[in-house]
Formats: sequence, C-alpha cells, structure tokens
Amino acid sequence: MVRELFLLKNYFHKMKGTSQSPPRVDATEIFWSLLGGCLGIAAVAFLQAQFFDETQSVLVIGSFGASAVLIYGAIKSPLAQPRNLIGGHLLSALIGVLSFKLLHSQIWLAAAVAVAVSIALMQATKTLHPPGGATALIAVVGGPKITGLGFFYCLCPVGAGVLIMLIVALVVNNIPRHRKYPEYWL
Amino acid sequence: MTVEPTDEDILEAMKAFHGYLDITPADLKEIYSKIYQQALERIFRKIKAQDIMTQEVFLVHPDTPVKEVARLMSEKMVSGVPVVDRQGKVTGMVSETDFLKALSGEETTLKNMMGLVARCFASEKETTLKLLNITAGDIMSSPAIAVHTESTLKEIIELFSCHRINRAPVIDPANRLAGIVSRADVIKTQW
Repeated sequence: MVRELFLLKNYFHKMKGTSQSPPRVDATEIFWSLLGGCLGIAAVAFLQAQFFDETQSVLVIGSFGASAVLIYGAIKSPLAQPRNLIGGHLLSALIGVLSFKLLHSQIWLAAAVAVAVSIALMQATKTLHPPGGATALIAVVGGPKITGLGFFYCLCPVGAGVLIMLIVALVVNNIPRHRKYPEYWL
Repeated sequence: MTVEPTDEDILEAMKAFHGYLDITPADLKEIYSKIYQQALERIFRKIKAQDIMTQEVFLVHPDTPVKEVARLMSEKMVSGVPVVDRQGKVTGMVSETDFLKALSGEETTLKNMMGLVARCFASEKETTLKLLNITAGDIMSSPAIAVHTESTLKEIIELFSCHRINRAPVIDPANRLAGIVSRADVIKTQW
C-alpha cells in the first residue's frame, strides 16, 4: 500500500515539470525567422493564387504553417532538417491517403490511424517532422477537394509545396553570417 | 571526478548559441554530464603509467643507512624513494611518513613534520639518535604499493586515493623498477 502511494505521488509529481524553458532567441534571430516564414509561405501562396485558384488543385495546406515554424524558426533542430521536412511530409501524405482509401467509411478511425501510423513510421525512418501529422490528417479530413486528389496529394500540394519552402529556407537561412541551414541532408 | 555545471552555466551557454535550441536546460545538462563522464573515462583508460611516470628515480637499497636516505631525499627534494634489492626488485618504499613513524617510537605517533619539530624542542635527548644505526630496510613500508607500466591513469588515481599515498614505484613486466609516478605527475598530465 505504501509502495502504491509512493508510485502515485511520483506519478503526479512528474506532471509538475522539473526544468525550465530555454532562453529566448535574440532579435536578429527573430527577424530572420520572420523573414523566412513570410517569404516561404508567400512563395507557395503566391503560386497557388497565380496557377491553382482557377483549377480544382491546391498548393497550400495547413501543415506548411507548422513546417515554417521549424525550418525558419528552429533551423538547428533535427526536426527541421531536409531529411525530416521532405521525408516526414511525403511518408505522412502517403499514409494519410492510404488510410482514407482503406477506412473512409469510418472517418474517425481513418484519421486516428493516419496520424498514429505516420508518427511511428517517421520515428522508424528518422524523419520525424511534427507537421507531417497534420499532413496525414488533412489527407483524411481535408474535404472532397483534397481527398479527390488520391495519391496525387503526395506530389501536389505536399511534394511541390515542401520543395518550394525548402528552397526558400536554403536561400534565406544562409544569408546571415551566424546562421546556416541545413545541419545535414541525410 | 565530475564537473557539475549549474543551471546558470547551461542557460548562459544556450544563450551564446545563436538560434533556437530544441532542448530543455535540464536535458542539456544531463547530456553534458554523460558526455563529460564518458570522455573522462576514455582518457583515464587511455593514459598509462609509462606515459606520465618520472624515469629518473632516486632509489636506495635495504641496507642503505637511514641517514643516507634522509640526505638523498633532502638533496633531491623528494618526499619518498623506492627501496630496491640487489637484483633490482622493489621491496618497499621509504617516505617522510615512514621517518615520522620510526621517530615516534612507542609514544604518541607524530602526525607531521611540525610534530617532529615540536618533539625536538621538547625532548632532552636527541630525537634522531634512534635512527643512527638503522637502515632503509628497517623503516620502509613493505611490500611497496606499486603500479605496472601498463596501469591506467584511472587505476593510479584509485590506488592513490584508496591507500592515501602520494607516489608509487612503476614496475615493468620483469618486475624491475621502471620509474616512479606521483600525484604531481597526475596533475601535470596533458589530457
């Protein structure tokens, strides 16, 4: 009984948190993150407006916003490296489309399977990229315009959009002397 | 040996690092400690006694008169010498502590050199008379706590700490004296 109480106390104690938040980045870092985020999303959104609005296709999906946070705002993070950005999105897109095709009669289940399997697969392939979870989810719950794309969803918007954002990241993140991107490719 | 950085050290290092670091200070501290410990272990295993020992050793024989031993230690400014027999085998060590023990006799043990000075002032008889007719073999600590040429820095430090000694003779595979390693040699070691 005493042991159980101790384990319970320890269990709740862990919820209090034991460390502190990392320090805030300096003003120049904030500036370059802002500029990168602006240019990266502007590039895909501009191309969407110019070439895709009159068609049934899309180029911008919500998960790109999350990717922008990483590849322009946390450029040293392993989660933000090209391997993770491209691999994470493409694998998750593939899993998302597959989940929808196999389980579309139970959308709630398709959504859960898409995200869960994406996480596991990204971990197994060292391509963990949190926005990938959103990419997988969008493939299931994104509405007819997205689900109608089928496996083409992996190429466009996902593949094409990610590639444009990566090019912007390579250009912008390497301009300041103290910034460099990526840390590694593979 | 561990070097524990403070939370402030970690935060300062993180601030000096341009860009957002995707790790909490506590995790970084834990990783740092593990890396440091691992590196230290590797270095301690890599460095051997033969790399840091002093090869020029002032030695005495078991039959060397104690007054000769004292003169040698004084002249060469060393606080201990190995005692080596005629075949070249290390049979013991004579250190300042051994002199203090020999001078203490049956009375209270002298704890340090100043104890000896105090004894000299207090005693009517010449304190050092006790040592006139004895040899290194009579006062040496035996068997000598020795290390091998291949002993690692880690083993040497543990030996010094465990036996509370300041130096140890280094013996080669043929059991002959190859050098001497002291705490000063350990401190001077280039990691």
